[in-house]
Amino acid sequence: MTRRLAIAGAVDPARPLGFTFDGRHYTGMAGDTLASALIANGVDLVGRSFKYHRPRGILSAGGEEPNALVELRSGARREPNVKATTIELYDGLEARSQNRWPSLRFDLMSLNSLFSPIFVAGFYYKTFMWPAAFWERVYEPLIRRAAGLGRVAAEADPDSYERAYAFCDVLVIGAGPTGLAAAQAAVRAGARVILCDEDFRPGGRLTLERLTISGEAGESWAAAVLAELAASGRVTIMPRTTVFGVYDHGTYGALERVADHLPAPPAHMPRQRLWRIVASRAVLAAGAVERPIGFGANDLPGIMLAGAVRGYINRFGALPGRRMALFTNNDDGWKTVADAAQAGIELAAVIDSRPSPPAELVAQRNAPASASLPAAKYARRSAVSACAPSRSAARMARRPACRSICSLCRAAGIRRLPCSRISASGRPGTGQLPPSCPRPGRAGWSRPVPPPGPSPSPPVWPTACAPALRPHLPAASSPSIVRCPRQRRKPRALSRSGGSRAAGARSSSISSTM
Amino acid sequence: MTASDIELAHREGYRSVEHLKRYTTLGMATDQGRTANVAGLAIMAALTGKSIQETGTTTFRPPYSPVAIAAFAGHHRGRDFRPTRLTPSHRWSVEQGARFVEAGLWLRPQWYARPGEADGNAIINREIRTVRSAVGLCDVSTLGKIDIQGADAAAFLDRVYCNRITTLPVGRARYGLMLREDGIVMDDGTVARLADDHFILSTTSANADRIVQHLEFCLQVLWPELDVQVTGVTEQWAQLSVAGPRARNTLQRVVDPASDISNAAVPFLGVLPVTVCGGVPGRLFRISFSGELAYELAVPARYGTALAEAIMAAGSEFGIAPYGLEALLVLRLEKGFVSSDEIDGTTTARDLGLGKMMSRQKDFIGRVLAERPALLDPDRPSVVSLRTADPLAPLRVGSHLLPLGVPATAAADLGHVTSAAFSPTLGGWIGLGLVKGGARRAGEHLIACDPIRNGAVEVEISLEPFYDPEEVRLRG
Repeated sequence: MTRRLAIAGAVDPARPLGFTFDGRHYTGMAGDTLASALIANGVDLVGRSFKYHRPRGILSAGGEEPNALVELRSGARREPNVKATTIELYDGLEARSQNRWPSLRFDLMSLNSLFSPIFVAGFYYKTFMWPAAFWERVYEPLIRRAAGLGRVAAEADPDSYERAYAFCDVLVIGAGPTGLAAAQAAVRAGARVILCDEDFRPGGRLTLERLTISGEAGESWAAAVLAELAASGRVTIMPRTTVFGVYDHGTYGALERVADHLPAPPAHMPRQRLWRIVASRAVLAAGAVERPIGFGANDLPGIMLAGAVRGYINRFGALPGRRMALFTNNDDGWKTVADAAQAGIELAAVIDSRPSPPAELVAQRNAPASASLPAAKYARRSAVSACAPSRSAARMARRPACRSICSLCRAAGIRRLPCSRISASGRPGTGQLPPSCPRPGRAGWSRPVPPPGPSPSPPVWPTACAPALRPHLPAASSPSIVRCPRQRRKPRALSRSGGSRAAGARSSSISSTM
Repeated sequence: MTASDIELAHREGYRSVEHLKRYTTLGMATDQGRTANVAGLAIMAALTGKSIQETGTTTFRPPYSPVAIAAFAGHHRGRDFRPTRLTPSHRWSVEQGARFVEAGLWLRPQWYARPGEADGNAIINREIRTVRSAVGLCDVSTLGKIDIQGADAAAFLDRVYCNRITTLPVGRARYGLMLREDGIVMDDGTVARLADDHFILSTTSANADRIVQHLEFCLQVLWPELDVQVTGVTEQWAQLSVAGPRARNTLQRVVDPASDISNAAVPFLGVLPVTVCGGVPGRLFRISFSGELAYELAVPARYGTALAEAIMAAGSEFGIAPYGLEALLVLRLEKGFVSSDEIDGTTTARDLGLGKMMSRQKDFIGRVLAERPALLDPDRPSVVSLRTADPLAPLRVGSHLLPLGVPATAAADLGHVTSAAFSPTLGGWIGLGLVKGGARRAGEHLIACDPIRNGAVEVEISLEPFYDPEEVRLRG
């Protein structure tokens, strides 16, 4: 059962890659992540939750993934709790689901979920108080055996790891449209630049969305900028490199995954390299993480962030489902309507919890099940009292999304909604937003928290450096790096002021949180 | 983790986002609060009636995403966890069949096996006999070497050593003892005076870096007004010890003829700048850790292997053989010299039998606190030489020393054995021990009790070294 589009964005059908998941053989393509390859092969159930062993699918398309954790490789190279959404597929990749017994589909420990009404917050603190003699001898061993996700390898790691140092005038963290524009501006101003991105393919959301910049397709704009940067001789482009922290004196910690995309590192190559990058200035162009919406059983397989749905369609040509409902409370989620239609996905419903979604958005969609849900009503029924206890773990595993949809549709007043997937895009606590708060164009996204730490030159949010997505603004007019520091504010303070990676939201005063 | 859990936390008063996090584990999952945490915090904002900004987020800390510990460790794993230090003559030692032992970061030759030799004890005994009867060569490059220069160098050393250094003439060396501020012995070694304002200190191998730190502390914090420069030069010099009755004969063939190294020119504790092997600058110290006629010859580190080869060639006629750390320690034990086994951070100069070294004419670090009543107690354990009544009964380090004929109880404990070895020279087991009131127990017999290994052996206490107590050989 393949769910792959004929014309796929950044995967290469000419280079099929074989891999196994829980011992079954599948085929992906060069350019896939493990998650996209699983989706294209119709695999939805990929793991079990930590405590109740609830079935878990793939929620996102990036490093924020909370659900799709797998065990990668075997023997001494076995690595637990790896996010399937960040694993670059290679030929012969071996992955297993974890935290289940005897099998992923039939997991006895999911009986735990029957007791979920008992296992409320603070259960452990209140229950395992006495006798004190049991703390270390009985309670801890029992709880430790029951809890936990993957297993670490028992043998010593056979691979080598390196430490390395780098120095630059401007460190750009993230190679999305903002980061590329910032790097371009910096290098044109004569600076030595290091451009890091955790993905193996630079471009950020340009690789996941159908966006245009100055009338040019986003991916080709990115390619042109990358070519200019490479030709300048002053830019070090570091893909597969996550900047994970800011430390004293403008030092940034970064992890380069040198050989994680290979079955095993060649003899001369380390698996990973830990960089200390000392930068005079840094631009934090880390992008944004889409906010999920709280509703009953929203953790189950088949429920995916709307932006991730678009990403899997556009970049990987992988269809998360054939028939889908979209639940959103902001304009950004509506983008999925067009992408889904393009990919031939049938939209069973578009549910917008705002009292009156913009008419032009509704107009593009003539779905019979479109419904508007009063925000206050939704908040009462779903957001606050979300996640009703499950009835049967086995049934949940079989038709997970249906139950969620039921609770959604009840809230929306829809009686029947025949579909297998929900695509959700939300901003939290919509009902609690003050009425005066403007509805921004791209709500529903949170900035990832900047890597914190004391620094004499903290990284700047590149609000002034991010013109890339604005139509009709030539890339050449990107502000020079000299202007960036003027925008400097404390990273943590900035992290609280919502907004998104795109320029469109930067001026709005989103009163949401991270 | 459900929305109702947040409601419960709210009802129970866990309303601050930090309390909420700890009570419910919201935001602690593998995504570290990137997804559901956002909605959860908004629910708490709704429940408390605050805005989302007021509610805030929990503190985020690096790393942003998981980083394998292996990446932080890098190459620092297994044997590469710490650097391995090799002496300048290491290659030569390997060629001579050395078996190495780790001493701190250093690899030091434990003994040198000749082809066909397998029994370590036999090799050690052979090496000792060679030193006592002919001449031996030992790599002592690991000993700490500190270069002290400046107008106030002698005055400075007077303050850090408990014995007097200002009276040391140029061209002579002196055994020196440094105390800690609390009066306990910190380190021992030699001080050689190369010029009025130029000294070379030697320290024990283990303390080389610590003593440099200590001297720097003294100069930068205690007496910044002194004109003194301290430089650790341990790795800049290869130092080889040539010990045995034929040591001088051997060295006369290595040191260039222009330098007179006769007993008159370089007496015991004499120091002489020399050139060796046709012009290589070196320093000759007549110091001995073995009790024999002995010299230490230092040359720039890059000549370490060449010098070892030259000395071996020069001494071949006299039956020279290299000797390792084990033989070195037995040799010093026979002579009753203390080492780090006795200078263990609890012993004073008096405990070590070196009380007379503490000058009464000057101030020095540790002088005041060394006079505390408890440290003057004559019943404190002090160092004595031990030899077993039955020469072939093994004496074990760590054995407790008890009076004869009393039950082995902690109350009867008089002290313990700090070093022990079989002495081929004396044909029996000998050792050093710390014994309560040791100074008045000469000739007394005790039991060295080793209950863990079921051993009990009678030992005799001696206050004199067993080997060459008149120091005839040393000064010959």
